[in-house]
Order: sequence, then structure tokens, then C-alpha cells
Amino acid sequence: MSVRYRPPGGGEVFALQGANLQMTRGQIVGVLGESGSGKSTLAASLLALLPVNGVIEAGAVVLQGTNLLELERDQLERVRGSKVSLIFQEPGVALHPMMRVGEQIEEVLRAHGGEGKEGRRASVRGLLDLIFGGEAERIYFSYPHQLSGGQRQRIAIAQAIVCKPKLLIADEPTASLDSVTRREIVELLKKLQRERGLTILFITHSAELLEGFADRIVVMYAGQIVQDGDAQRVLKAPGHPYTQALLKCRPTLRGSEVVRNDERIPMIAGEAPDLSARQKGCAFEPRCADRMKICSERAPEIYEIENGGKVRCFKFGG
Amino acid sequence: MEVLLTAENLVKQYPSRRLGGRDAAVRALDGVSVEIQAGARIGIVGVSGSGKSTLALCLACVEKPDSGAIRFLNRDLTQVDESELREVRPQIQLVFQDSSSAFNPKFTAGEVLEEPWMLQRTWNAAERRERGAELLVRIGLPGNIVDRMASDLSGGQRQRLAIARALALQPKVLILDEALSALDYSVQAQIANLLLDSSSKAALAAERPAIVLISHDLVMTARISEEIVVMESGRIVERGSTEKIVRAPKHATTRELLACSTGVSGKFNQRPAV
Repeated sequence: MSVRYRPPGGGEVFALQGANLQMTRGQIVGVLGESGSGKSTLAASLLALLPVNGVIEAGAVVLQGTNLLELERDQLERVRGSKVSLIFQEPGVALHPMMRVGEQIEEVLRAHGGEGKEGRRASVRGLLDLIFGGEAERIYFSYPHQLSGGQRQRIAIAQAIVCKPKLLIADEPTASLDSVTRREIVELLKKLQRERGLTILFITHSAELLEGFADRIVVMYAGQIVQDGDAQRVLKAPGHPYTQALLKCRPTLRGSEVVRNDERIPMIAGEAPDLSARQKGCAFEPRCADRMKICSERAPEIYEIENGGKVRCFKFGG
Repeated sequence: MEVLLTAENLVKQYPSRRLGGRDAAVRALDGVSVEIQAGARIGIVGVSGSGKSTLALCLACVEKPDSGAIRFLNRDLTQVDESELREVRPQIQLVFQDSSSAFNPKFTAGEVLEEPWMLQRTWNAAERRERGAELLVRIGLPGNIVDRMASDLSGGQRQRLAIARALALQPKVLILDEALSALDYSVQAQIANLLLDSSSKAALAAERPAIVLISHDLVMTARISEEIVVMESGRIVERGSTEKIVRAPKHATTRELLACSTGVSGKFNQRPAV
């Protein structure tokens, strides 16, 4: 998948450059990346939901044999929400302020032509029981402003999964929540994976959220996938120099680190690259601690490492 | 060390936001006392709604507490009038999560930076320009940024600019209310280092503010602060040196914050499902 934007001021931004991603049923894949890495563009392109100035240059999105990008608009609309769903950072924006949230979840079922009125109500009640337990009844009749940020995000999740989609794409769903609520949302998604076999693409910039949660981690930098592998391996032994540097930026409070709080935190030197021009060499080369001569001469391919992991770096092949 | 800013038994109540509901005011601060030493780094942590932002606003004299005292340089700031507050405010600076909303959208980065000096009528244009350039070097922004529109900067650059502007008047206290939370971790590390540098012993005493870091992220807060205060429902539930809080947390809230902000593998099987 390659996506290019045409910003209003002119020029071009190469937001996504040949990203390949394969997901198997029931897997949680974490997409780890910073601002401008292309992770949200990847999410939006999977459902052909790019902004009007975004162009898919090349690529296909194949869901169980069907290329979603070749579908007619009305066919695509049937896929969105029923086979593939999307949740965002700000759930409040997606909710109608003057409608009870239970009814808003039912509305999704109605839009996709599911069941009669009574059946829809029963499905939503069942789902809210699963998500909110004893509070389900009160939540059903609440308005969005009466709920906390975490509760609203759980309503957005309920809307997203009420039609039993195959795939849930979650684009930074916890970014605006505090750390305790963040954990609760992640635990809910894990439970939905276990109990309903949901497949989840979870986009985040917080690596620690993925620990114990994601099965696989894909790391993005400057519009490219630079690493793809088993979650524990990527977190414990990050191969790509960018992944290594990124994980070091986050203190862990393990060992003696906490008492060294007069020392500076390891940083990634420099700034993220400008994506308005195509790069000749590796996009991370100017900031990389391990750079070699070849890195500025041509761009690395993605190379296989042990246990099915993949790394886009000349240290591992080429 | 000299005590610089203290809050004594602060109480702040907001009217309930519930429509048509009974009178159920929210006690955002319910008897909170903190003491900030000159040049110290203190972290105030808690989940949403714990009252930590209200405490920040009260310390910065943006909100007035219902009762209690805020002492700064032998004055109770809750008792002084607006003209006296105006003298104090430059010395207690506040930086928010979304600093772009605090910038004039028609200003260049250089104008944003020089605005405090213009308002205080210190320095002429050439001096402002020179001092602005010095400040940019100190916070690690490229000098050519001054001519760019502040709204065109990246999130991390904007936040560094906000901190630079807050430091421009050499405040005695710098309060950061979730100022790192929305940023990428690599950018958080840059800003954390900027804070560590500006309060390090190597910095000039006059340029070394006390830093008050308000956050829900115990990990980054612990890495920066020497002392931590944990809040819940408008009260302080635990306080102590960073090492004590991290190594031997006593209160359940502290333990939960710790568990939730560090990735602990296998944790999913240990906690009951939501």
C-alpha cells in the first residue's frame, strides 16, 4: 500500500510507502509508530477512508479474498461496520450528544439491517452486559455527557463490534485516557479477542501498552514498516536501530533507573524526516547510531530474520 | 533548601455539571497541602478527576481556591489584589497539554517567544531578538524557526517553544499540566531532558526554576521528579521521595498507577477482567 497526500499549500507528502501487512484470524497486531510515521494513514486506507487530498497510489486491501478497494461505494459501505470496524482516539466525537448511548448502538445494527427491534435490543443488552457487567442497565439509558472518557470509548467499541465484524481497527483508542483507564480498555479488547475471536489492529505510540497484549508488533517509521515480528521478541530484542532507540526513550522504572533521575534520558537525535521528497537511502539513516556507508546510498529492503521476523535494515541483509 | 511556594489546606468546589440533577457539587480539592522548595522537581500524579489540574491552576493563581492559603515569598496569594497578582504571575509559569491554543495563531515562533518581554516592556527589539535566539539554543530548537508561523511547527517543537516562552521571564516556578502527555515518546524524552537541564546544578541559580509536573504518567514523572505526590478524589493519598513511591508504594492508588503505567507481561492473567 502506498498513499500520497496533496497538502493545500502545494507539493506532495509520501505518507505511506509500500506497506505490506498480513493478519490472521484472532490475532492482535500492534502498530507502533510516532506522529507522521504513516500509522493512521495505514488504518484509514484499509477502509478507503482517506481524506479527499489522499491518493492511493498502489496497493490492495484483501479481506478473505475480496479486494475492498475495487468495491463499489454501496458494497464498501456494507463492509464498513459489519465486517471491518474502526474506532478512534476521541469517542465523544462519534457519539450523538442527545441520544441515549444504548440506542446509538442499536442504530448500527439497524443500519446494517440486523434483526427486529426486540432482537436488536437484546443483542445490545447482551453486549453491554459483557462490557460493563452490573452497570449495563444504567449505561444503556445514559447520554454521552454522563459517561467518563473510558466509558465513552467502551461505547464506541460496542458500536464497532455489535455487528460481529471480522476485524477491528483501533486507531490510538487510548491516547486521550489516563493510564489506569488505558489499561482497562486494553484489557477489554483482549477479552473480546479471547471470547469472541476478534481480530484487532491496534495502533499506538505507547510500546508498553502492547506488552502482554499484542501477539505481533509492526513498527512504522517515515511511512514504511521497518520491523514486523512476534511481540515479545520485538520488545525484548528489537532488531531495527529505530525500534531500539524508540524503546530506550521510555524509562522503565526497573533496576536502578529510577534513582538516576539527574541523568538525561537517551534520545533519538534529530527530527523525523520530511516526507515531501522521496528519500534516496534509508529514512532513518540521519538519526541512526549504527549507520553505514551504504545506508545513504540506497534504501534497504525488508529482510527476514529468525522466527519469521522482518527488519528493514542493512544490518540484517542486502 | 528554601521553601518557595506552599499550598495550605486548599479546598475548591465546582458546581455539578449534571443537568436538572440535585445539588451535587464536585470537590476538586478537599484539603490539599503541598510545599515546593526552590529549584526542586516535584511530580503530582493521579487519574482523570483526581484534582491534580485544579491544584495546578490554583498554584498558578489562575483559579482561586474556596479556602486555604497559597504562600509565595511571604505573601498569601489568595489575599492579594489583581494588580499585585500581576507582579507575581511572571514568576509562576504554567504550560498546558495543548500549547498551540495558548499561542496567537498570527504570530511567528519568534513573536510568540518575545511576547512576554514585550508585555513586560523589558528590552528593546534588538535585545529581544538576541535573547530569543539564546533561549532557542538552550531548548534545542533551530534558530531559523523564528520566522516560521507557530501554527506550522510540529507538536514537539510547539511544546518546546511553549516551555521556552515560559522560561523567558526566568520564573521561580514552572508548572507543567500534562505538558508531555500528548507527545511521542522520543519527543517526551527531549522535553524531559530539557527540564532536567534547566533545573540541573549546572544551570545558573537565577535560571533554575522549581518544576511541578502534573501527570497521570507515573513512569515519566518518576524519571524527572525527586519527590512525588499522589492524588485521588481531591485528596493527597501518598507522598514521598520518588524512590520510596516507586520501590515501596503504600496506597492502593499508587500501586495501581504504577502497575498501569509500566508494561508488565503476564499481567492480563493476574487481574480480574473488566
